[in-house]
Amino acid sequence: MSSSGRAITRRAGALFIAPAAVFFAVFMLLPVIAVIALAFTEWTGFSLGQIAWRGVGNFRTLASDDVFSKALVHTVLFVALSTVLLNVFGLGLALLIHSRVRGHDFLRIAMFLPLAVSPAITALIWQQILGPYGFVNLSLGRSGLGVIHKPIGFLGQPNLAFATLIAVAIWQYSGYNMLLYYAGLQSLPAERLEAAAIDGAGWLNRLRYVVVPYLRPVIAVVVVLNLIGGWKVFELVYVLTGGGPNRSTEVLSTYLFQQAFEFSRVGYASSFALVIIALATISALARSRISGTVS
Amino acid sequence: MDEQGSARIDRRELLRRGAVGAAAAGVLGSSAGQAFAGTSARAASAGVELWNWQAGNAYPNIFAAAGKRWSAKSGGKFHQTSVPFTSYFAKFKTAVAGGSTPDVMEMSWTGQYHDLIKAKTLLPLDASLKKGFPAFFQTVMDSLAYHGKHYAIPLDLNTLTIAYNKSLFAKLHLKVPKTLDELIALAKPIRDAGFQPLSVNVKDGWPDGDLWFAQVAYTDPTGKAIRRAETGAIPWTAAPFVRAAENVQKMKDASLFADGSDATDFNGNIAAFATGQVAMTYPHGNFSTGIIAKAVGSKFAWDLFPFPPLKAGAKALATGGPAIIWSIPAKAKNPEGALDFMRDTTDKIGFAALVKENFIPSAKASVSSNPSAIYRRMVSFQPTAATRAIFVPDVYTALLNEMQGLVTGGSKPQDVVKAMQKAAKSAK
Amino acid sequence: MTDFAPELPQRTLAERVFDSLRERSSPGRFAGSLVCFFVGLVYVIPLVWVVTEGVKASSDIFSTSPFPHSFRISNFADAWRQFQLGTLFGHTIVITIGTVVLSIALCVTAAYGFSRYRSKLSEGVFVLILTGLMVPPAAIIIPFFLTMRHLGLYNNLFAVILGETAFALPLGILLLRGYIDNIPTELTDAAVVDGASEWKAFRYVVFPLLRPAVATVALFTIISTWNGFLLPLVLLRDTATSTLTVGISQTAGQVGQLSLQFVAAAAVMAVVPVLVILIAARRYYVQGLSAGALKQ
Repeated sequence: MSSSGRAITRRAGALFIAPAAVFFAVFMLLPVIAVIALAFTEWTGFSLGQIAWRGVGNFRTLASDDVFSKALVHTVLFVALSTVLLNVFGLGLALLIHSRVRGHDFLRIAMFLPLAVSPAITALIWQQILGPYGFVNLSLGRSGLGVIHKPIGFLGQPNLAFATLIAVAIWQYSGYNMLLYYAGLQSLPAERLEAAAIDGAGWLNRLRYVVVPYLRPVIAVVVVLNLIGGWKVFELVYVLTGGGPNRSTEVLSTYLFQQAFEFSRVGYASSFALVIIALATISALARSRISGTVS
Repeated sequence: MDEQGSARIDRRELLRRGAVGAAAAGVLGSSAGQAFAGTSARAASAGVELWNWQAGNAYPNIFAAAGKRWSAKSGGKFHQTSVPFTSYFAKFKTAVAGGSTPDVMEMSWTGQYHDLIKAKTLLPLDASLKKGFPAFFQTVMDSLAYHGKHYAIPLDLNTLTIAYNKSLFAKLHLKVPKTLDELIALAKPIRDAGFQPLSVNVKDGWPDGDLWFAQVAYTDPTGKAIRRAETGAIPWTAAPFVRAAENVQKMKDASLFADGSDATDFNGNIAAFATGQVAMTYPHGNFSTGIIAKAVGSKFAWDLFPFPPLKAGAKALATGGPAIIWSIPAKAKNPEGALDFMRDTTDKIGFAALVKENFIPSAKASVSSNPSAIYRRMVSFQPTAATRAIFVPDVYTALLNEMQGLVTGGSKPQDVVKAMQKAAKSAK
Repeated sequence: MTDFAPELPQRTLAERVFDSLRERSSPGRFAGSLVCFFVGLVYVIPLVWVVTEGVKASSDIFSTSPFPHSFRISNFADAWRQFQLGTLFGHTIVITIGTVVLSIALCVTAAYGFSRYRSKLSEGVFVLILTGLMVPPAAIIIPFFLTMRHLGLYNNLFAVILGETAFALPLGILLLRGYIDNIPTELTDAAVVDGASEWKAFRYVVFPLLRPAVATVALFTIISTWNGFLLPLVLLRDTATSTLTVGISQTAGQVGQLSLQFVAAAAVMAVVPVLVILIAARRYYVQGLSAGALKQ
């Protein structure tokens, strides 16, 4: 740390910080404040003169809006499930790769590739692959293995579409977690594992008593990153399912987009924005609080 | 002293670098072409820009031809922008707010149309309609009226029907069904022969609404129930609406819908039919028969029939209304040019071009050329076509979502009408 | 046999995978290899699929066989024309380069300021900027659009550059500050005592040392900007000529778009540049991730 030695002057410090700070204030802070203000108005979004103050009316409408509650539940579920599964897959596969079994290089490279693909393109590809006449259904069906008699509605069945969405998100992002955990494992002293193995600890116990405690700081960061990322989901849903069928994959951001840009309810849509920002902040803070008390 | 001096230099240096950066950014900006030029270049010419969501059918060519005629007369530039339907209205609203609306745009005549009129984003066209336009069919004009005024001009008409594989029907000794029960009964023999019965592009949403409209045509003999429910005279939970949803449920229970319909979109629907995997596909008319013809080619013979009536002997009713309708945004820069362009597409030459591609003009047109069998078939359904529109956006959205839920599983007929009624209440 | 064959670097991936399946030194490791192989396939198959789809003949596109029977390399040229990929690439490249340049300039200076000058205020500003990490783009897209409209930047690539930069700032500043914290201040002290200004000390002493960290931040920014969707969708007017992701994903779903082979070919071309950059610079990606994670 730079505690020793000489720091730069206040003026120089201000000059170095100012451009980014001003930029951030104009293009991030201002919009956040504006969206909070808009959440209490009614507005079609076409002309500023039409803005009308609505107080907490939008939030009252929220409470009785079935689609909003669906979208809220789906968003929370998406964030929770994707965070848990990304960490399970990420850590599990990082351990496998770390064990250097034959083929670990292949898996590492394979998991790395989706990180370069845009979520919109990912959604486009999976939509085709999982469609009723797509690669997976054809492979399992009559012209392939013949194990199914009719196509599986990965994206068409309301109860299956959400699981499919999570699976696609795992495909897209698990490489990220794997890399972080793999990097963390690199610095895990091999003797510790060996000592545990000599003590007769099975792999589950070694995981529980050696690996996880060692990686705890990494896990804390990764979980926060996943939580933050989860709230940002938009194009994956927008392109993959459009929120359907019958809103079964609708999330707050896609419903916000629909209300604001298709139904011209900018004020109402802004109240969702407030909910998303609040939830994202709370979850990130809560996570750091929890990890703080644990350690 | 030293510190102050260095801070001064810092600032000067930073300012200098900032200026260089800004200049570089300017160069970057000016070299980036079209999207950087933004709206100013467009405004300069007295051209006409048309927005539509058509692609893959003959419309873009027809518009281009009409645009060429208009350009030759006016000297203005005609430009056609194809905006994908999924984001069409989002793009339109940002364009309006951003101050660069198109001059004329394809409009959706359900849902969005009334919303946009209320937000004062469309021009009333009644005065212009009296000058140089044909006498459009009254039923169509009625469906475009909002508090007595018209904010759109119809180009052509649509009837939604089922397209069926005639060759496959002949091979399996199947007849065109005369009642709904006969249609439902087709599911078994078609499946037994290893084919799929009726494919619907359920994923797109609007076809799910049309499954319901097709049934309301029969469950509501007055033909006025939907208009009355919009005004609140009867609830959306009224018997004709429930029965319509129940009929669709019956089709689902009998496995009439092709496996995989639940995740099929428009293009997948056409593909399933054109590759001979499904015997029937819905909903098709004006806008899609050209695409089907191109995809099927000469592989098999096909034709259209409306959803059959509930009782034997009753008249078969298609659903329909306008196909493409055009509006002029209130902030259009060249509304007069846009009107002239529309006159060119709805005059004798314009209508002839439509008929040539199997599109049905929205006014009486003297059809000189010999129209195709498919065209004659579609025209024959037109006079009795029942409505396929709900003009309250929230109710229409609730219908589409819940019908999608009904076809994919999860929603029941009662859920559909209850959701519509709830949406009607909250829209007030 | 294998004892005498050293692991030569030129062995192909396929051979390595094949070998991995033959090795049976322990059942556990063999099972691990199997998992590596099959899970790896799940990650790779969609990408392989999109390539094979991209070279299918149009007659093959709706075939009921899961495997391709045709090979049309000319699809790429056709897709290039149909999707106006020249324009889309141009816009995407300008936006990406603009965002990288602008965000690096802002991040590096701010990170240096935050690292070397610490007061309650500067720490407060730093934490405030970090909260930007938690703001989903969809949540502020409405006021962001309004801001751009009032600046006269609607339908201007600059609007997208500004937006992508705003979202790139927090992570960039976080990573770079962590990196600068580890550079001894004595280096700059010496330079300033020798008469160089603070700026020169930063520019000529610290900045060159930051190269790996800058590369990492640039890499993250390239990936997120190239693949951005919501900002170009809302801020640029014409979908067909906006950016690669928006243009391809939106045009793909258009009514009557039955040429799925061109959609796939276009998607391949859109993905390849970032994939190549990511693989070539993977060192910086991994280092950046682990540095960022282990720092905190």
